[in-house]
Amino acid sequence: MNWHPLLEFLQMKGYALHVWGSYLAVPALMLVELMLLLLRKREILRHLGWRHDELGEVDESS
Amino acid sequence: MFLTEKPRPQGICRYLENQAWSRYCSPQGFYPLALALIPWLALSALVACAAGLFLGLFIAPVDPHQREISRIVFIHVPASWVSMLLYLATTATATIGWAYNVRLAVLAAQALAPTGLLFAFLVLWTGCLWGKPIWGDWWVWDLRTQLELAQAFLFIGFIVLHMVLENQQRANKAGAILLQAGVLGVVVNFTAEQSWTAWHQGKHAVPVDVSYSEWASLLLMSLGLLLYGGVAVLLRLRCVILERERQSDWVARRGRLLQ
Repeated sequence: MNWHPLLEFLQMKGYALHVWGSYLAVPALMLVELMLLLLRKREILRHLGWRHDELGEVDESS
Repeated sequence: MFLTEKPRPQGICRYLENQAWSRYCSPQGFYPLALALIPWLALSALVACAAGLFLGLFIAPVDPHQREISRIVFIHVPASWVSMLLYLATTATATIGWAYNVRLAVLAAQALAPTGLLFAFLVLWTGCLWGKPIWGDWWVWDLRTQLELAQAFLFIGFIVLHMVLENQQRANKAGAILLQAGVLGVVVNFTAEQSWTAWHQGKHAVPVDVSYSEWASLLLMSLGLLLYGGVAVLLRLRCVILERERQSDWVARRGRLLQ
């Protein structure tokens, strides 16, 4: 198998650190944000004494 | 008969009150709606980002002067647009919450600000990585980088105000005024793109024709990041609603239904 085009693409003509550093920072920070939000939610549910927070079709506003 | 009738709201207030969707304007009504929206927004964000990345990395032509480094544009510019939009949305919701005392708007502003800060940071980070090979330095004090940095600090100020001040109304009022001070900066930052003199690539910027694939990639990435922003904001809004409303009847009722 010829890996040359793939390696060339990953190297970005010498700008790999800059290009991939930019592209990977976005999903990395997004995942961190989502994980922090899920942890916060879990902490709130624990504080309220709820095991989960999905009521399905129940609409408590009505 | 007419004298005993209670005065009824007129005009736009009456119209809004009679709309079926108006019940979603309260934290109680919005809470289940947010949960229903999250999976659809997340799925759409994934599809839009995947399509935008494919176009940006494999289809769009590279800039002949900046070469491969110019591919950062497909993450830097969409993040910048989304950070500006989130800034305006945070300002608008904080102002509505302050001026009309709309509880959901106050909570929405608190949910929007951290995600706006995240995008402002991403703009600065990708800008630094782009600037080093183009400017020869990680940071240059030009108009747009300063405006983006100021925007990030205003987001931090808004978040800190809500953390420090106990009185939520006072915190929101102070936060709204703080954010309003930066709106002009956002407008200048956005419109500066149209002006070559203010464009911060300076002499390295060349007025090339932007191809359809580049535009498509930019728009798809912007849409994807915006939809992701929607997911994060809705998740945070649900947390903020539960934290702020934990003493209310509807939260207690929901707790009983869950058991």
